[in-house]
Amino acid sequence: MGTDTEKNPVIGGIGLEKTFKDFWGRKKVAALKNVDITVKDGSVFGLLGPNGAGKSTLIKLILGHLYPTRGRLSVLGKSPRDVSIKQRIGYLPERSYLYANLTAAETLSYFGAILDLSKDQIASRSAQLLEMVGLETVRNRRIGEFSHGMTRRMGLAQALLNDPELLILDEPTAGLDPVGCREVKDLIVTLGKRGKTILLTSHLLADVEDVCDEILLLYGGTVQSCGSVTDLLQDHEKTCLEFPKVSEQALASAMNILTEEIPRDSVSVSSPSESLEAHFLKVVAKSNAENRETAGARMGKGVAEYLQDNDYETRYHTDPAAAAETAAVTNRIDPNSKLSELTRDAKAKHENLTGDQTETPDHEALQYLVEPGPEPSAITTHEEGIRKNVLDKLADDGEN
Amino acid sequence: MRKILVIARLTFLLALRNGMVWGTLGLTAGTAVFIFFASTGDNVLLNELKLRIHYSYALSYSLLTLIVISISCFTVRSQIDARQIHLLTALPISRRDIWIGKWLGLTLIAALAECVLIVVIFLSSSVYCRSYSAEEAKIAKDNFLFARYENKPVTVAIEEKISERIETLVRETDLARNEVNEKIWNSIEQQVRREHQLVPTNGGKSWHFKIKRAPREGEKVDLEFRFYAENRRTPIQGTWTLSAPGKVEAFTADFSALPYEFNTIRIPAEQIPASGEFDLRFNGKDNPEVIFGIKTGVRIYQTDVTLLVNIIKAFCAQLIHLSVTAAVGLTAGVAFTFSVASFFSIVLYLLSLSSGFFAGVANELTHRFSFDLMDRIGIGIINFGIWLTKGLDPPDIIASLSSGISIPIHQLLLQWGPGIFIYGVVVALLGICLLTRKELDKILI
Ligand SMILES: Nc1ncnc2c1ncn2[C@@H]1O[C@H](COP(=O)(O)OP(=O)(O)O)[C@@H](O)[C@H]1O
Ligand SMILES: [Mg+2]
Repeated sequence: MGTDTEKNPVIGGIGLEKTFKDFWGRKKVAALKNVDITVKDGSVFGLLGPNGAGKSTLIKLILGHLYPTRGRLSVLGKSPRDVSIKQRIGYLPERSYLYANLTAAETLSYFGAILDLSKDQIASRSAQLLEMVGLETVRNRRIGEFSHGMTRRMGLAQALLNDPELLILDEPTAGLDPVGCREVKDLIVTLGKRGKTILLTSHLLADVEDVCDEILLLYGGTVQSCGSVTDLLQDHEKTCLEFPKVSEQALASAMNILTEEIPRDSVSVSSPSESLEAHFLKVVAKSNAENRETAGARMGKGVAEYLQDNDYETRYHTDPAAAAETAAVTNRIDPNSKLSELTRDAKAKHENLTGDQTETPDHEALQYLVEPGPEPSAITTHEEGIRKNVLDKLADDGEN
Repeated sequence: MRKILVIARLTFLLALRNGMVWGTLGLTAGTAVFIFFASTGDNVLLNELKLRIHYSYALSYSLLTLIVISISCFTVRSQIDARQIHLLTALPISRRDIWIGKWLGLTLIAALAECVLIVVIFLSSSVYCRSYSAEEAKIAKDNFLFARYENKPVTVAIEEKISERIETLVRETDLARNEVNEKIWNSIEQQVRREHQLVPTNGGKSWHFKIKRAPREGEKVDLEFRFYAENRRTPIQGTWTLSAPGKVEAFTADFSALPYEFNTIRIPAEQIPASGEFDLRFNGKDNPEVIFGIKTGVRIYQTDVTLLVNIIKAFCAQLIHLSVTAAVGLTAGVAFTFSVASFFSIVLYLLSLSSGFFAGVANELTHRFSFDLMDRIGIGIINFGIWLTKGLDPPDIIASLSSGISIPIHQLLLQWGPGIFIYGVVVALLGICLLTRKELDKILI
């Protein structure tokens, strides 16, 4: 079975290219360039990339809505345009393509009929699905009257109606409230555990990090990195220590011991994981810096100047620390933006953990560092024994 | 098949919800009622009804055709543009079935509108009858409740007669065949056409009939005739004689009738031979030159079917036409943007309304004696144009229906049917092919 799935992945694409042409056949946009993708049976596969990277285009190729300009693609062992495989696929598009004039219940009943479900099946599945996505009270309301988040939930219910083997979700959490996001993630994990194959795209990197086994990162239509999440996020050039809170002296001496006294092989060594967020931003910033071609959105140049309030200007100019910090992450991102906060956090977290900091670490940051982190699993090493050794050593020194 | 029906139901429901169905029904019915009561005639109920039904039916049906083209274009185009078709194509249903389902749904809407149209027109008629006397109403009822079948005389094609004449000419004079030029041809043609219609002074003329079926006992069989003469006000007298081989005693009827008017003579059913084949001869008494028109000169009417059957025939023929119209709209909607598609199909439809004109031009050209290359190319182009638009040509039934004449459905299906059938199939295949091969993200083909 194992070799079987490797030979016949659920989705297998080699050298995929997609060029959009205009009416006269002139090349307009190269949305995908030489993309290889392999989605194994039972995996939760994340497709990442900034806006316009070609994620939705790739999904449309997989669904047979678009045809590749070059390359080969097989889905569930057949051509993407084969109608028979559609019975086993569920699809949530990036925007709602549902009929605004149908009610939630009608939508499910029509789609169920096309999916060849019996009347009883449609009735029981609709009830369960609407309850699951929290729309059972509005089942007789027209979808055109739904809020954006509600239509997303409805789309999800529609995608799951045939209990698909392969679930394709184009930005499933976009527009959902935090509870909805959590529920969708739980759902993906549950389905993943049931052995379903899930292909999803998302901008919400934390979501992807939480649920995906494997990811493929696109930028400008080319694959930037690809592989299992743990492999990708492990930074092999840095070292990470993890221990409970100790006194400053202890820490200092531990540093001494570590750097001078302890033989290299007895120190617990592990590769720390960077957050997916940091990884993503790094790849995008790098591609951007290299001026790689993209048909999609480039990194924003910050808030338009005329929109920036005076407050911001003074703060920016009088607080060199803030300015420097922002510049250190990227001199293009507005420090007030949410993205910038995220990157700052990620960067701080990342630098703290890896000891890459150039400034003297302040106490607060240290506290955060030594406390059992909110995501201890992300920085735990595999070699428990070695780690214990170091910690013991530290503890001894602290008492002395 | 089940899935096709689901799509058809879905198409219908969506059109109902977004008001397209109500719009279609309202517009066609409204137009029908408006035109029915807005037209005026000669105040004789029967004639008024014929005229009003004809006008309101013809106009509102044309409008219905245009609406069907537009809504077909619109439904498919809007679903491609709003990408709702993406969700459908992500389901296990082929694009061919989606096309057929949509087409069925649209045909259903057209059928509904057609029903409403007919009901509205006949309701209007019965309302209109109330303002007339009971006798007039009875005459009108008698005319409409049973549709009469119209038998035309058997005629020889004009071209055949012309060739015959030329053969004789060549045989009997010293004119060589290659000397027969356009001028001679034209004059012979004129002569033949004239002879075909003319009854000379103090003369007579025969028509051969082969009627649809021998009438049952007591059934009404009417001879209707109309002729033209120089003096409109002088009645002309004469005799009609019905004879058939093997018939012992010929049936005769004397008459006195005014030119330009329709005259009816009832023929007893038992006088018609069982074969339904007989000769009818006109003999004038001191008559001047008289002309019997080709179209309305001499006709034999016999009772055929009830009004309902006639309406059902009309409905079926028009439904075929509307379904092909829907297919044209659907295919155009798949192929082009909405504006281009509606423009394209409406132009096609308008051309089809005038395809009679083009057919006439082609006919004129082919009736000429000799052709050069340019003529042939011209005829080819016109014929192609006629073919292109002919499929959208509505069946020619409204005139019959509005004057209580039975629709010759066999004849119609033989003459008009094959063209529209082939057209429908070609258009449907084109549409299905386009939808199947097309990338769903693109705006144009
Ligand atoms: N139908 C189309 N015609 C032309 N360009 C397109 C079309 N669809 C997508 N693109 C372009 O292809 C690129 C990739 O788009 P998309 O796959 O939707 O990005 P995303 O990764 O945000 O989902 C974008 O630059 C977009 O403008
Ligand atoms: Mg997208």
